[in-house]
Amino acid sequence: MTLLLVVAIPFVTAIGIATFGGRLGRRTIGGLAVAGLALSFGAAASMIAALRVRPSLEATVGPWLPITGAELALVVDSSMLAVTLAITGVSALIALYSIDHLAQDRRLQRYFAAFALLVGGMLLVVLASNLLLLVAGLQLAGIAAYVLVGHHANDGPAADAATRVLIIGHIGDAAILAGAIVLFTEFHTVDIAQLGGAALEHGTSAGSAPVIASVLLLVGAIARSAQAPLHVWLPESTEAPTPVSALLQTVLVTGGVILLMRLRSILVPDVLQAAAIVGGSTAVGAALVAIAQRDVRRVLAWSTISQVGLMLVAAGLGALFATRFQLIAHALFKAVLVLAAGSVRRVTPGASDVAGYGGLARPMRWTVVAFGVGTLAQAGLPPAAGFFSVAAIASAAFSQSDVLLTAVVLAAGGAAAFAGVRLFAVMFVALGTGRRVGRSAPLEHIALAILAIGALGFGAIVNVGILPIGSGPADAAPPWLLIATFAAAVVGSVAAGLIYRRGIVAAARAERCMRWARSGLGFDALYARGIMRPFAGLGRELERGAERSLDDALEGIGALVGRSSRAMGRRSFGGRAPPMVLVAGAVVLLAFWTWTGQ
Amino acid sequence: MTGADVTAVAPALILAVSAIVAGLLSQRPTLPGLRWLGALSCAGSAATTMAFGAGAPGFAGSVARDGTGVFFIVLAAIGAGAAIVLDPGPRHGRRAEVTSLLLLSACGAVVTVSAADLVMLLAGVALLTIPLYPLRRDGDAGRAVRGASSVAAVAYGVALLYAATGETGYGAFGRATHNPLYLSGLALVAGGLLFLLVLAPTERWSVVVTAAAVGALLRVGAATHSGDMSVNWEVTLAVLGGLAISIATVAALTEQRLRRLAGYATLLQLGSVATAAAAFAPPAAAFALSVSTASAIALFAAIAALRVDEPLLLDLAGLARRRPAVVIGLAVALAAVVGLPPTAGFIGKIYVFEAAVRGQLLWLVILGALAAAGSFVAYARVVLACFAAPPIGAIAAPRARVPSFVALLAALAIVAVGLLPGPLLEAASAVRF
Amino acid sequence: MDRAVIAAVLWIPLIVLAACALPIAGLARVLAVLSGLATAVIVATAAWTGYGGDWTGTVSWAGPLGATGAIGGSGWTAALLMASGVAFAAGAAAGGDLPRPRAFFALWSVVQVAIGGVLVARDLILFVAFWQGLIVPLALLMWLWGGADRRRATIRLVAHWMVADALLLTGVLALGVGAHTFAVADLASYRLGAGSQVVLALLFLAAFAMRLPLFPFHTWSPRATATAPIPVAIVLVCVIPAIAIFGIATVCVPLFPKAMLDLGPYLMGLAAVGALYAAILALRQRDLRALVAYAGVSQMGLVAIGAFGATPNGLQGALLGTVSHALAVAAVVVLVAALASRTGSFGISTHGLASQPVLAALFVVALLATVGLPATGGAAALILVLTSAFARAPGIGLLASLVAIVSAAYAARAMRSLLPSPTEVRGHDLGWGERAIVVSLLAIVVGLGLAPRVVTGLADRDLPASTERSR
Repeated sequence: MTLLLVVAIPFVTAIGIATFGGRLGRRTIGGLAVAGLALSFGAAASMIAALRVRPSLEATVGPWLPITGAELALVVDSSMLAVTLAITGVSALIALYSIDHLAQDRRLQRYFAAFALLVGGMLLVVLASNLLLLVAGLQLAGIAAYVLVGHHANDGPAADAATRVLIIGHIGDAAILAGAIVLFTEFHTVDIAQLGGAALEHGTSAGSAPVIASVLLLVGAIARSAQAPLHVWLPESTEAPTPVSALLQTVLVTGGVILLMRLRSILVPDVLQAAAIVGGSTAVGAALVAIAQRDVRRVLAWSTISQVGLMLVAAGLGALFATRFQLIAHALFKAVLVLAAGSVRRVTPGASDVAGYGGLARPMRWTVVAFGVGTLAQAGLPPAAGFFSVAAIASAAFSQSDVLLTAVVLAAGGAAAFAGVRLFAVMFVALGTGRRVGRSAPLEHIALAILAIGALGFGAIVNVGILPIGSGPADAAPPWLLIATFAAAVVGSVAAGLIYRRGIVAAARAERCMRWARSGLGFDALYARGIMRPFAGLGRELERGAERSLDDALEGIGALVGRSSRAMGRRSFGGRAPPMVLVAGAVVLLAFWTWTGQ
Repeated sequence: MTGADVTAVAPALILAVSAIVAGLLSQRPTLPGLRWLGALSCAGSAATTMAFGAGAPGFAGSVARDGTGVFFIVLAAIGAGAAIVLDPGPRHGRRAEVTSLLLLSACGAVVTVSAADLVMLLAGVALLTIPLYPLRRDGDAGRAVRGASSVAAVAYGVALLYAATGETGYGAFGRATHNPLYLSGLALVAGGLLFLLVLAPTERWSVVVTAAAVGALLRVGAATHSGDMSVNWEVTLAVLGGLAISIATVAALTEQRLRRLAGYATLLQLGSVATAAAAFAPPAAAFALSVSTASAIALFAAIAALRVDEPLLLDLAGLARRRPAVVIGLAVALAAVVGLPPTAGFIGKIYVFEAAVRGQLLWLVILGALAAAGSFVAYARVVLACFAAPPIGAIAAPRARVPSFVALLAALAIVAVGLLPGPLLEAASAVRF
Repeated sequence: MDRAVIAAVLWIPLIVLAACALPIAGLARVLAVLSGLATAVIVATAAWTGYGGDWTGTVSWAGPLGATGAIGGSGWTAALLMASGVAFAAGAAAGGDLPRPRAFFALWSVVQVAIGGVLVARDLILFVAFWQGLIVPLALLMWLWGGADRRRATIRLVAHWMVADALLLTGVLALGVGAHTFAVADLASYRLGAGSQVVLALLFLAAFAMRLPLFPFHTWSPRATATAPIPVAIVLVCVIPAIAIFGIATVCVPLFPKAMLDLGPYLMGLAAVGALYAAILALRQRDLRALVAYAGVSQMGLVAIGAFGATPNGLQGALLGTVSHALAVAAVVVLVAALASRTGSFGISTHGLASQPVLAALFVVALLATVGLPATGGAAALILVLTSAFARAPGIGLLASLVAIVSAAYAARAMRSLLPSPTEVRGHDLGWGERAIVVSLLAIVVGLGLAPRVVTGLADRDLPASTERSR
């Protein structure tokens, strides 16, 4: 029952706001949304005790589709409960932040309705008992994201970004759906637990269907978690309002990772390995791109891609604890970073180019502290959570004696540290105008404070076992690996600090060196040239070629019939048939009858 | 003359007598109710036929009195009645003369369809066509020649057949032996009768001629389909039907003249009749012909309502507002031509096609069904033209109460048969050879 | 459903037809709306209380032709009668101000009778009679109340339909004459050779594919939809495809089980390719109505994959998809009309509905519902159809998944024109009447997504008769 409430409350909140929100005040709507998400969080938290006793809880609403296993049912175990808590908690705080941040907005009804819908959809992804319901959750979240990203679509970029979010998300969903159905045709159920059992039973002897299904599911996960080459929607989505960015980068982007975590026992090993490889290469590449960005929002978005890549590595390696840990830790610190950066942008006149900042340390004391904590976490410096998660992933890679992947993880950690510290240094440490306009916003501060505390303390909390997110802590790693992780983080941080302590202008040479990575390693151009343009061309050709020729053919038939009709009309009867016709007709009849009469 | 003889010729007799009476009255041209009297005598003739029903033939077997005769006489009489009532009025010659001539022609039609003897057939055809010569709209002398050529062909044919068999009764056909004269005579008779069909389908009395010619052809065809010299009517009729269907459909698509459109409609349905006949399904042929008669009556009623010599589609503009009854009649009639439910045309189409499928004439079914598609487009133009806005400054058409009435009546009959086809199907099933 | 229910389905519109003769302003429209709703409610009550069961009876009509006059109602009939009833009600309510409303709704009622007749006829002659009886009133509605391009559009539509119907009629007669009956129930037990099954199935399918419309027979649809008056457009994109699917599932599948099994992969492939083709073309339309029409071609192509697959899941998906598509697209068309009445054109451009938030929000939901927004009937149907497709031909399943992606793209294109923009549309937000129509349509669609078994259960009722033998 409680389990149902966890998912139902966000949906009810969304529907309620969408239906009756027009009559409520702006802050009331926001309050409702926060209350709803907080209630959901509370409901989830209340299950902690129960899950200490039992391995999992289930709740069934009723039958859904006429397909085995496709019921409206939820299931939760302790690891997914942790993810649930992270999603509800972080999103509640982001909603709280939004109340002040978007105080001037006219369309808060739509905003908060979509917000709650997105959270509800993601909760379905975490808690659904079967794959089809999971896909439905992903799709709902995707559509909510579309609405949210398009929220301020007065300008072209946001509308483009929203469309991109929708379509790439849909590609992922379609792949996952197809994968789910391939699994269904093979194992005759879509229930995730049953599928796991069936896959275990059949082992590798089940033929090609599990492989096809696994590949499709991986494609879906890649699209949903913004991994290369389907990552292009996430950097674009930063055109959205700050809280939306935060929500996308902490909650929505984890969809693919959650999928991999839940389906781990179903996917074939090779595909899991591929997931790790995709995640690792994305992690390194995106971190490099993040370093090169000038727009603060893009820096954060690219480093999100990188961090999620690490999650994929962990999930692919089967290190579920590390995945979970990284997921939650990242949700906390990335929320801090994005929201703090948003607060800065809100009160700072000018663009979001990092060059426009500087000298904000004094006027925005508390924001700086929060951003600092976030940076610490992203950099992977203890005691913040990031350190533990990177270490856990590295040790997971190493324990499978995958040296290359270990190195990749460490490199990504170092690059993340560089990117984080670079941003912090440029925005707050370096000199600048230090001007701020606009009022202060207490709710923003509260939200930031709670998130920052979480980001700071989460790792420690888990490691002393207060939160039941499962076993397998980082201390299983050899000590030198911990040291190496730490060293990578320190090197990255110190290097960034040295280069950028005087601001971005002073670091012109370093910036020049990284210009090649700024455009996102050419993926956008590749898409434009390799997919969008051919596709548009195909559409044009179909319209001009096939459809028009079909039309012409039909018109041609019509014209032909019309011509022959006119020709006949000139000649045919109506009293003008001469008697010769009679004679000729009689002769023909005679001839025919004589011929057939023999 | 025995009682059977009298019964056999009673329908023709009624028409002949009323034709003479009407002719005598032509000295008083303004007699108002004359055309109604003419129509009444047609109705009387039809009623008499139905009352007497089928029975023994008269005049030593030369006048048949079977179900076929009853059916076709009723059709011809109804057609003649409608043609008389739809007389556009004194502008085209005096009404009493027109009535008289049409009654005479109807008399000829009755004789033609009930003839079971070649001489009777010749008499009937002559009586059918000759009175129609003066009834032309445009004083076209050539028309008379063509009409006469049809009679002449039948006459030659009859002579040749007599020469070949030495008998004049239809019964002799079955006994014919190899003889080129026989087939030549038959070809001339058939050609003459077929020529009657295409002679004047654009005039309002075409329904009479059509009923008579089809009736006579079916009879002759049945009689010659046996014996040594059996004629391959299946293929002949199927080819003729296919030709009629194709030509009527394609030519109608761009035709602008209403009379011709009506002619194509008749021709299209004659194609169905031929299809049914080719499949040896006389009931289906008879049913299709009755639908054709009803729709032709409605079409000519609409044309009469326009009061234009050679009406075009354009002349229909605004009719929907001025004469909704006529438009309803027109629409229903054309729906029947195309064979759309819920009109009798749909039933007729199914009936004929069923017969054709049984007769292994699937190609003709497909052709006919496709023709329905084409003619839908062709005749939809006619109905939709009625809804166009009338040209500015158009003179209000004179009242047209009688055509409206006739059109509505025909439409009512078509829809009633479409919804409750039972009785007519039963009546048509009496038609057999 | 029994004789009383079927009589109600056919007589209610006829009563409306008669009432259109009364010179009372606005009465015709009200009655037309009520008749659609009444049909839906009566059938729903009968279907879900199990009243009358799957009744079959006869009417006496054209007996000498061999027509048995069999009528009856199964699950498919009930579901589609409900959907079409709701669509008719929505269409009648959404028309805006039409010239000569009494004449319009008189013809409208005839269309409604014909659709009802098609759905209850269990005799092929009767089926064809209603099937063709639809054309005249529909053509008149299009010609007399249509927009600029109405003449060509009407002729194109009529020519397409009639040609296909010619083939259907030939097939019906060839089958019925051979079997000495036209009743579907009797024909289903009539054994046909494999070859003749294929030929006859193709003749039947021609007519159904034309109405669906299946690529490459679809060119009438965008033209007709873009020029027809809004209520007629709703009939064209909602109800006509529904009866086509009905024909495939309840005539072709039971009568030609072997042929449908053999032809299945080809037909599914054609449907999938057509769906993709139409989706790509939908992406390029500049007129919202043409977009809706192409989208309809695409979505019904997906639905047809399920029907052609003829597996239990496929048929369930086909029925659910048809119902859901009909209602969702009805909502979209109503909204397109509302939008056009405010912007003055049906073109896709940036509208910016800042002062019409309800219109914008409902438009987004409705558009997404047509392309399978999760938690709508369309999504559930897509899943079922895909299940069937993957089971029979995985390649076609993948192709269908691709269609789902492209359909999201054209939905996004249409929605993009609604996102906030500097050029704001003037005019009121959606009126309460339109709001009521759209919200209730979408509510049903969402309800179907949450409880799809309501409809798939109805499809299951026909299953023993249709799919078991095809196995």
